[in-house]
Amino acid sequence: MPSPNPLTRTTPLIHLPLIVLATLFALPLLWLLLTALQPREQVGKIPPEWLPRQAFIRIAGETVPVTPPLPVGSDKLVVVPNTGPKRGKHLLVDPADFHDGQVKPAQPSRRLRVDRNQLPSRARAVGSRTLRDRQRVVLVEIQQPRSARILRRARARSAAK
Amino acid sequence: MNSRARANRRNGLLFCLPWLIGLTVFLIYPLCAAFYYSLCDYSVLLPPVFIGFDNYLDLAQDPLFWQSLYNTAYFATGSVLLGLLVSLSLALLLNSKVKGLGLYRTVFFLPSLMPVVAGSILWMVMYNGQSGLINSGLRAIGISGPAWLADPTWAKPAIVIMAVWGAGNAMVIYLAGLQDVPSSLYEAAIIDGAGFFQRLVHVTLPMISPVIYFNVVLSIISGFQAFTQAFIMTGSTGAPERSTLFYVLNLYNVGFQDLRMGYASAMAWVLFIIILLLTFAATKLSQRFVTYDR
Repeated sequence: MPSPNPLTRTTPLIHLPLIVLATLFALPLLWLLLTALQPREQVGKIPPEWLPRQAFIRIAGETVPVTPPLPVGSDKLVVVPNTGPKRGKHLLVDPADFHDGQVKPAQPSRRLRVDRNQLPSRARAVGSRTLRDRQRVVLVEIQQPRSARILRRARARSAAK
Repeated sequence: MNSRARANRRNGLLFCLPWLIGLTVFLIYPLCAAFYYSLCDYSVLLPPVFIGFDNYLDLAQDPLFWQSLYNTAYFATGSVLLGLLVSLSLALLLNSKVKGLGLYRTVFFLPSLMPVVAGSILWMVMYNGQSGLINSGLRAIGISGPAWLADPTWAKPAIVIMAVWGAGNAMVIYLAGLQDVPSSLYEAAIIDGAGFFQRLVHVTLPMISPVIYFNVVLSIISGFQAFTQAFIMTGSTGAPERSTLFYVLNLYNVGFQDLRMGYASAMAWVLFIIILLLTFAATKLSQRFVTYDR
């Protein structure tokens, strides 16, 4: 039985204003949620990006997320120190800054910095070697980003190994 | 019997005591103290010096006072009217058996659950002239948007729009009012040949007029007390060009930055009187429009 209250009887047309308004009301929250999942360099890009993307590099089958200041296509070294405060961390270094098994920036400004307007990038390992003290050094090439979903899958795969 | 009645009264008073103490210590005493300080030159660091009504006389000469009063009146008017329009329209749209009703109601109500500080920061980022979501959206449809919070003419409308985003609270109250309207009235109206707009104007609106009155008074009060949005989004100076220097923000600056507590207390009392008068006016006006007939 249809409702006796004619104001509660509806035509499908009522969806039109409702959908428009609901979109306007929900967009800020959706944007907030998606931005919260984005890596730092993706936030505040012009034009804005919705889906979170994490740049990463691959080292010997292992996936490592990076926050790159890097122009796409340039070569970088990945250094994994086994002593000091950065022990076990993957550092992305300019090859020119790596001497004698240690990261020594030639100029302070050449250290890794976050450039927000640079594309988040993915890098491909093009060669690797292990130094004394089992410090790992990999030469990588920076490539275009992939979505975080792909990254998660890759991470799960490398964890399963 | 007599002693029993006395014991009853004593017990009753004891039960009321926590509330009575709260009322006196946290409401009546501060109100009176604020009024006394409003008659003093008081910098917190030194004892108050009585100066009569000088603070109130100075207020009338203070351009910042008038600017902040104008800003607040602008915001309150905008947010009350737009908020009324949006929340009432939403409630009318949702007072039906449309599919996905629960989803719609949730979506419209959700923003009002967001804390003001979090919401302010979210909108601050979205209002950014270059990288903000809003201007990016406008650019996508070919409009170059203003700098919003950095533009003196658009900063206040921007804060009003943000306030309308939180209209879900009022919407829920309207919805409750709408569902209380007896359907027999609509049946009678239909038999009399009333169309949709006639039913809206002659049945729905009069029947929910107490709810409208309630919501309008509440939003006038909260509109005049607006502080957090401006404090978070544009800083305590009310930038740009003092266009978002709301009354309470100005009061806060005077009291806690300039340490002129006497002057700030006078401002607080003036605001109290303004809100009191507006509420009184709304009540007077409501006697002509609000019906409690059932």
